[in-house]
Amino acid sequence: MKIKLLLFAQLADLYGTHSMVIEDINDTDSLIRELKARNDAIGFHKYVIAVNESIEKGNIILKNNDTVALLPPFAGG
Amino acid sequence: MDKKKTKKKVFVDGPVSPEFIANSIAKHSTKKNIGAHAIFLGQVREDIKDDKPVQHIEYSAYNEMAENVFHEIREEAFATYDLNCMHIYHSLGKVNAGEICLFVFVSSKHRDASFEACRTIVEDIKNKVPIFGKEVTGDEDYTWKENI
Repeated sequence: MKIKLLLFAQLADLYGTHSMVIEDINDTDSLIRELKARNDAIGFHKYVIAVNESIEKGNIILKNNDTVALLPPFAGG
Repeated sequence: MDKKKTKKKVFVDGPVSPEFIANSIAKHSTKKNIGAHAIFLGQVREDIKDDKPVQHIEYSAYNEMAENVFHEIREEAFATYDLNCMHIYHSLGKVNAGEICLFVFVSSKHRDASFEACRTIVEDIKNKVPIFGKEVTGDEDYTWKENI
């Protein structure tokens, strides 16, 4: 199973990319653990999680080919 | 303008020009059932970050989601307020301090609907749309803007 991860702003800076494919991750808690393992500085950043463009709270079970976006604080307007 | 239809294009490259704003106003003179317009312009402010003035903001967005959220904001405003017309434009890319990055333009028969809808739309944009802003203060220096 794989999901597409989208990163923006501070988090894109942190991981050096705006998108990546992550394999063998079944839920958002596992995704965040994986990202922390790659760079634990993510723990200092604020963000919300959007799964398939819908902002979600709590642990979300992911499906194959889901798109997960980590969204730092917004700055529109 | 059309209510409840397909998604409108909101993002523009670079700043919204004063000429564009004036032309938008002029185009509505043919709509004789409008009695009031409310317009909000967001301008890039020369804030001080790390003791340096912001020269420009580079706007980026989760484009697909942002367009859907703008559409929802439009639909909700049309459903809530008695509006004749609504236009929303937001910049992507570089906008210098002093230039316009957001143009919200609502029209109605009477002023109450326009005043209230405009405020609601602006607050919704700031709270709900995944747009990001890099506040650039020098060649290599920047901070990420956070709405309050």
